Formats: sequence, structure tokens, C-alpha cells
Amino acid sequence: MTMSTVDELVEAGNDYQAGFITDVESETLPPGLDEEVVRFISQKKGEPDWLTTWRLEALQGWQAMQEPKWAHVHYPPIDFQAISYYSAPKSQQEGPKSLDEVDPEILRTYEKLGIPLHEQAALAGVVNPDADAGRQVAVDVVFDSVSITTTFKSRLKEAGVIFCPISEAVHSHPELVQKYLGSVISKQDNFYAALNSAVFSDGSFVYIPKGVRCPMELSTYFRINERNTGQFERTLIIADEGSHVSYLEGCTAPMRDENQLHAAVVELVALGDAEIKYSTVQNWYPGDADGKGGIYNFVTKRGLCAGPRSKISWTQVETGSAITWKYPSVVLRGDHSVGEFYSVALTNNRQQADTGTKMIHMGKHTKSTIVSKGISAGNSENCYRGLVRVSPTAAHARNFTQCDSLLIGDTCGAHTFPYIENKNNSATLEHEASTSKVSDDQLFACQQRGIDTEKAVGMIVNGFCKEVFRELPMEFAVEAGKLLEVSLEGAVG
Amino acid sequence: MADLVLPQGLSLPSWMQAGDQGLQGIGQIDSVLQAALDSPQFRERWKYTRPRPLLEHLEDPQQLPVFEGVDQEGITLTTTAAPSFCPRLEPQHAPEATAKLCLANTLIVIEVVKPLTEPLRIQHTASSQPVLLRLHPGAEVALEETYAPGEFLQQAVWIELEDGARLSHARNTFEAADWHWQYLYVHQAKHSAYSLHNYTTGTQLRRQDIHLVLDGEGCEAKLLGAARIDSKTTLDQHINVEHRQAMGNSEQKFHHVVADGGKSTFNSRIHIHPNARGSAAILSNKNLGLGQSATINTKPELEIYNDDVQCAHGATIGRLSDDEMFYFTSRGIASPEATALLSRGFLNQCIQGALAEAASNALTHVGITLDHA
Amino acid sequence: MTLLQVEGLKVDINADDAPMPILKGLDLEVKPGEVHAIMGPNGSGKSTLANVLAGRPGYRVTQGSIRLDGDSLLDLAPEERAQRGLFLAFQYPVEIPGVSNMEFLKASLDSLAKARGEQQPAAAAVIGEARELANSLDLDPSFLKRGVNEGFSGGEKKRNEIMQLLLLKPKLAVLDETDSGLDIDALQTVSEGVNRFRREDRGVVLITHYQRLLEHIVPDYVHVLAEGRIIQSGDKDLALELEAKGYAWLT
Repeated sequence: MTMSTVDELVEAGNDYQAGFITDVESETLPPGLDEEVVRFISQKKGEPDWLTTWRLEALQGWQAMQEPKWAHVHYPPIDFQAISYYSAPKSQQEGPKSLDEVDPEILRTYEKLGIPLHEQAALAGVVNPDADAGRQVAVDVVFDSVSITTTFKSRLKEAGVIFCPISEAVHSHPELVQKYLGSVISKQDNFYAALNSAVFSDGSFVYIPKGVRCPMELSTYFRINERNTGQFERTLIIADEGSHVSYLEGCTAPMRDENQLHAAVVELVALGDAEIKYSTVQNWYPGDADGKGGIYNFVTKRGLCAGPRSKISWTQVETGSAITWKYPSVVLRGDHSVGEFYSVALTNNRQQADTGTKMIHMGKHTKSTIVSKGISAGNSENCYRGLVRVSPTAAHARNFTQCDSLLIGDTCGAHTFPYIENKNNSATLEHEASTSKVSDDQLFACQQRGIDTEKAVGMIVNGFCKEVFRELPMEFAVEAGKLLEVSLEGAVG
Repeated sequence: MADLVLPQGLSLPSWMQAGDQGLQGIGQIDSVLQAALDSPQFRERWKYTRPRPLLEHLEDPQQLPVFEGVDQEGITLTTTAAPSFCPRLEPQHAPEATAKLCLANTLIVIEVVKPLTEPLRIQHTASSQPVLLRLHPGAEVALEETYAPGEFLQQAVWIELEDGARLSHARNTFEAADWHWQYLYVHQAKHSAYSLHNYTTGTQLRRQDIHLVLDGEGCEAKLLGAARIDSKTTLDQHINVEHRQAMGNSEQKFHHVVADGGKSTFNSRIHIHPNARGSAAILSNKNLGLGQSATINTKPELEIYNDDVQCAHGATIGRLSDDEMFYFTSRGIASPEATALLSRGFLNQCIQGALAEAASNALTHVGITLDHA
Repeated sequence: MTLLQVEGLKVDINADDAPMPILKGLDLEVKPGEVHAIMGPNGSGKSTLANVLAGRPGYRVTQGSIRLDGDSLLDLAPEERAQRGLFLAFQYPVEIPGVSNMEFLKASLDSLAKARGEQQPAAAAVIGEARELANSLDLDPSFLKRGVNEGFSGGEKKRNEIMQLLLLKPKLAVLDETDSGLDIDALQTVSEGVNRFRREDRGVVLITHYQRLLEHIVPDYVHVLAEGRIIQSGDKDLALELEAKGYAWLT
């Protein structure tokens, strides 16, 4: 999303602004999941045999697994056989050759959401015209199960950057996909990752060649539209030696009374001296004030710092979803590699979030930083869960963790569950956490200067999140701040 | 974890059903406890230590500890199969401890009705019969516990602090054991105050459970701990502080020195219930690793359901700072001694109370003497 | 006989994983009874010199020598240098909660005595002397029971360094910007302490940024350190000249 959308959001008032439904004819599989469904999806995409087999193995693993129960979230049992595992707009079945071939209804959807699909539009209006090329954003757009369009393809091609739907990469770059798919998150890593591996429909693929600094920010925009479908996208980003990429991810879904499942997998691989910065603004439909509807966001994200001095940085702003179950993690295998996790998670009404990170230190002199800001309002539950593990091989590993929680109102919960496991005595690990409410003194000081309570809380919350926002690309940071204010509306009595 | 089972044929003694705190109408105790044993919460409590040996030894023979200070005015001690009161029990929280109570043929009941002038001392000589200590309103006690070595040792203590009661509790656990379990449950009524000075070493395996319930307005609780975990020893501490009522104040500070090859697990949870407004809770766990490789797990948790709180926790794992070491060595103090001194300083920050001197000496070996200083 | 002999000293530190030269060939000779002031602009290597003399980890001597009483110090651990009579008064003394000043001092004195093959001093005597010294330096004697430098103000920390100097009685004192952050009264107290330490068999290396300290502790020699070398030496008048003209005319 962009700033102009957010302004509209703010002006338009209280409700979830991305909640409209797009009326397009879709081809949707009947609900249910078995081998046939997996074979159908794989066939539909004309996948090679190895990938079909890979999916079927994931399915077998999934069938033997139990849903994880350890998170601090509560929801009625999910009937995985009542979900449709494939939905595509009919008009997209052959895949658009250019924007002109995209269903106008879909284009209007993104227009309403403010996602620039036309490169010209991106150049002309949405992005600051004074900015250099580095501030341009190339967008891959995923609508339900399929990728609709990718912008700026030629610019990226010049730089040698591959940015395309993963379904396309399977055909155009099979050697890279086969080498890295499942290399960070195995196909049977956990219940939801296995499910995704079996049925993933589309998602983005990125490869940055050796020594290349990606000339613009890359972005994927995810949209769930169809009723009773799950979205299972899969993102794979490989930064070859000495390369650099910044990647943004945004998500919305229509307002529907039923819960919808989103089980994505994101894998990042950073080779020696490479850097990947991955930013998310997650604004899936959170459900209504009584907790009806909303997205179940059960996502597995993990990066591997494979080479020395590589760096992976996750920044997330989580304001949407009925339930968030998400732990973007970094495996620090290369010596001197760096992992970062900056997170703002805001829950309101009946939302539940169980989110955090894992930093697995294996290489020497590896360093990780975790900054988590949780804001709970209404009747919501907000939980940080994190793991810092230092292996015996990780001499001189360092971690700094800061987890702060802010409570707004006395009917919500804020929880902190950090696991710190160290097996090397040369490590230096620090963890700090605090929980408090918006202080009456701060509120009074604002009010005394004529700022109303809601605005004052918004300001204070924004200040509370500053350390995380400053990690975001600038457009996202502004948007994230406003999104928080919108999400908090009605939270202050 | 269906592999974990309690002794067969557990039944709930009538004294545990009596009174408003008893376990009335909870159904078949063995199925309740088995369900608790199979719960994710139990698995989490025993994440880093296997509980099976403990469950297998719950029915071991138990001894009467040696008591001092029980002849004073205001204190009574009885050994009985049917105590006069039942501590608040939370079978779901610690099924193994409730099972131990159910299994006990003899319990030690200590009642204190007024402030005591002399300390109450309990010297555990082996696995002890369960101790139930009740401080009536306004009673004040200084309790000191010490332990003897053994193979498989268990001591479980339940403490009730009634309105305004004050207990200053010190315990030094330095003796070797193959598998040592110390369970402590403290239930506090309004305006009561509890302090624990908990000093210990690792041993083959030592597990300390401390369960604190601030169940009245304005309770105070302060836990201080220091531990040295040497090579090939293990210490697993599990603390749970429940703020159930308003205006409670809890403070925890634990420093551990973990030597090469030692294994330390520290897990402390602060739980603020929805109506516990005005609660303040802080927790600090610092670990100093010496040598190359030790295992140090620390998990400070906050679970908070009220916005009118001030809560914070911190945990660190680190080595002695180079600046501190250099300051010492530049004054001519050799590295091993500087390390010992600095480790002692680190632990001393948490050592206070009735058994402080013994604790400091037991936990730190420093060659300097301050005779008659 | 020379007390301290520094010849051709070159020192690197690690900056961003690459060695960075700080001292680039420094010579210094201190005879018993002498006070040498080392002055220089920020970043000239003054504190590096102090730390290298005392053997602080993190510095690499790439060339040259440091001798105390004719013996090389380079291969000696910090405690061995201290045991041979070298004392560093820290620019930033660390706080160490949990270890009392008294424990610390006794441990130090015991170590020094043991290294010299002397009997360890009696605790009572040490406490008596420490109290007396504390009084003379306007330190509340109750500080002996408190943690090392714990909760001390900047001035108290510096006075504590001088108290240690007078108690431990080294041969050579290296004072690293002991005057920084002191008000005029504290500066006077500290200076009196250092002057009390001066004896014909003891040497002092006084590292300072300001001339004002030298009004209280009159040096025999003044050296100007710039960019890792001593570029000018003279008597106390050189300090006055520096005060008037700044360092720029030299560098």
C-alpha cells in the first residue's frame, strides 16, 4: 500500500478499508485436501515431476502431523477438509501477457488498494518524483492463488535480478528453485509449512546475482478475495555473494464472516557478504469487533545466513488478522553473520497474536538483535514468543533483545515468553522486557496542550514503536504509523 | 506425554477435601492429576529436565526433619495423618506436588499464632514428610532450612500466610544428591510479606519449584537467589509468581555462576490476573559463564491481564567484563583470584539474610581473609 | 639507573577488524624521583600509552620495548607488572558491585606481598591505614565496606585511585587523566595525594590534557605527544607555552 491509500483510509473513517470484495469469476477447487488435489495443483501449473513428488511427500508428512497447540491463542478446530486449496480468477487461467490482459475488475481492486500496477503510475505519482531509481518499487501481485503481474521486469532484467512468480521460476530457473526450495524450511518443518509445501499456489521468486545491489525495492502484494479459500503462497529469495536486496510485503483481504486461512512460507538465503532486508506490513482482515471473521495467519518465515558476514533483517508491522502465528527467524550459520528482527504487533478487539522470532547462532562472532513492540487493546491477546539459541560452535555470539508491551484498557492481555538457550560461554546475551500502560501523565500532558485522547494515544503508540518504524523503508513507515492509528480506533474509551 | 504416570490408586484423603480451600468436587483425583500431567503446561514446566524419575520416587520413605525453635511460645508442631487445615491446592499447576500430599501418611503441621523471638530451623536429614506451615494473622517468623546429602531427596513445603503475617525464609542447599527436588508453595493473604533467600549449588540434578500466590491486597514478596553450578552439575529452578489481587509487589533477583560443563535452567513466570490492578513485578536473572562451554537456559516470562501494572524482566548471559578483570589484574591480583573475587561480587549482590555468611562462603572460594575486619 | 625505559614503541589497536596504528615510535625515560608530564591533544595516543604500560588487553605492540628497572614488561600479564611496582590510576575506574573496596584492597596487597615474598599484611593494619588515607583524601571511610567504586561520583572515583596509589606504594605511578572531571577542590586534594607519593626512589608519569594540574604537581619534564610520537620535550615552562598557544603550533 502507499501513502495515498492510507490517507484515504484515514479520511474514510473507522472500518477496515481493504474489506471490499471483488466480483470476478473464479475457478475454484471444491473444498478438501488429498493426493488428487495436490496432483491437480501441480498439473495445473505444469510442474516437473520432482516438484509433484516433493509436494506429495509434504502432504504425507502433513497428514501425520498434529496442529501445534503451544501458542497462546484459542480458536475452534479448523476443518482442513472444508477449505478450497485452489482459486484463480477465470480470466487469469492462461496467465496475463501484459497488464492489458488483466481482468479490469482486478485492476480496479488494486487501484482501490493503491497498489501501483502500471509502471508509469509508479513513476509518475505514487513514488516521490524527486527520488532516484532506488526508491522505485517493483511489485509482484498475488490475487488468491495466482500471480497477476510483476512490474519493472525489464529494469530488473538489466541488472540481472530475477523477480517473477515462483510458478514461472519453476520453468524459467528450475536449477535455482530445485536447489533452494525447502532448503531453509524443509517440506515437513511444521504442520503449516508442510501444508503449504503440499498446496502452495504461487508467490514470488527473487534471485540477486553476485555483487549486485538490487536497483529498486521489490514488493509483493497479497490479496485474498475468494470465499472459503486458503492462501498458501510461497516466497523464495536468494541473495548471492555480496548482493543486496530490500523486499516489501503487504497483505489485505475482504471482510467476510468466516475465518480464512493463510499459511504462507517465506524462505530467504543470504550467501557470503549478502544482505536481505525483508519488511512486512500485514493488514489482513482482522475480523469484526466481536471477533467474527478474519484471517488465520499461520506463517513460517525463516532466513539462512549461509555465508560469512551475511545479514538478514526482518521488519514486520502486524496489525491485521484474527490470529497471527508467525516467527520470522534467522539461522546464523556463516561466521560474523547478522540477524535482526524488528516487530510491531498491534491487537485490538478480539484479535490474537502469538509472534516473535528465533535466532539460531551457529557461526562464530554471529550477532543478533531483537526489538519487539506489542500493543494490546480491546479484548485482544498479544504475545511475544522468542528463542535465542547459541550452539557450542558459536563462539563470541551476541544477542540483544528488547521486548516492550503496552496495554490499552484492562480487558486485554500482553505476554512475553522468551527462551534463551546457551551452550557457549563466550556468548553475551541480554534480554530486557517491560510491560506498562499508556501513562496517565503522558496522556494528561497531551490533553493539556489540547490534543484529544485518541490522538494522544496514537502519538504515544507511534513513539513507542519508533525504533521499529525507522527500520522500514520510508513510505512503509508512514503507512505503518497511520495504520496503527486506524487499527486503534475505538480502543480508547 | 502419556508415558508419564503417577502411582496407581491415588485417592483424596478426607482432610484435603475439608474446608473452603479443600479440593471438593474435583472428581477422581487420579484422573485430574493424570490430565494435568498430560497437559502442555506440565510439559513446559519440565522442558529441560525429565520428570519421570521424580514421579517414580514419590512414594519413597520420608523422615521427620530436625527442628529448632519449636518450643517457643506461640508455635505448635504436630505430626499427623489428618492436618487441621488444607493448603490451597492447585492440582493443575503442579500435579506431582498434589500427588505427594495425597500419598503422605504423615504430615508435619506447624502453626504460629504470634511473632516469634527465635528463628524456626528445619534441618532436612533425608527426604522429608510434607511440611505445612501456617502463620496466623500478625504472626512473624524467621525460617531457616538446611539440607543433608543423599541419593534421591524430596522436600515439599506448603506455607499459608494469613492477613498481615510476615515470613522471612532462608534456605541453603549445598549438599550433594543424585536427584533432589525441593517444592515450595506459598500462599499469601492480604498485607502479608514473604521473603526468600535461596542459595544453592548444582548437584547431579537439583530441581527447585517455587510457587508464590499473592492472593490478597497489598502483598509483598521478595525472592533473592544465588547459585553456583559447577562442572557436571545441574540446577533447574522453576518459579511462578501469581498476582491474584490488587496492589501486590513482587521482586526477584537471581544471579548464577555457571562453570565449564555445568547446566543451569532458570524459568520464572510472572502472572498478573485481570483484577490485580496496581501490581508491580520485577525479575532479573543474570548468568555468569566461566570457562568454555556450559549450558545456560533462561526463560523469564510475563503473562499480564491488567493494564494498571509496572512489570519488567531482564536476563543476561555473559562473561566477566574485560574492564573489571583488567582493573583487578592491574592491582596485582592474578587472574584466577580476580575471577574468584569478581564471581563472588556477582553472587554477593543477591546474598542477604539469616544464612548469608554461610551462603557466601559456600558459594565462593576466595583465598583472602579479612580476619576481625 | 632508569626506572622506566620506553624505546621505539609502536602500538596498534583493532578497529573494524583492521589494525590501526596509534603509537608510532615513542621514546620515554623516567628516572627515580622524576615526574614526567605527558600532554597532547585528544586522540594523540596518551591513554593508549597508559594502557599499554599496564598491559591492558586489546592493544598490540608491534615494535619497541618497555622496561621497568631494566626488565622487559612486554611479555608480562597485568598483575605481574603490578607486582613489579607499576600502578595505573584509571581515567575511568570501573564499578564492581558486590566486591567491597576492603576486599579488593586486601586482595591486591596480599598479591603484591606474595609476589615479593613478603608476609601478607594484617587486615587490621590495612584497614587502619586505608581509613587514614581515606580521611586525608576527603573520602568517607565507610566507603571501605561498599562495593568497589559503587555509586561513587566521578571525583570520588579519582580520589579512590589516589588512595590506592598511596596504599599500594608502587615504584612507578602512571596517572591517566586523573584531573579530568575534577572541581578545583578535588583537584587540590588529588594533587596533594600525588605529591605525597613523590619520593626519590619513585617515578610518576602524569598524563593530562590540561596545564592546570601541573600548577599543583610540578613536573621535572613535560613531553608533547601528537600523532603517536613525542614531538617536543622540555621543562614545566613548555606546559605554560602550550597553554598559551595550544597544540597547533607544534603539530
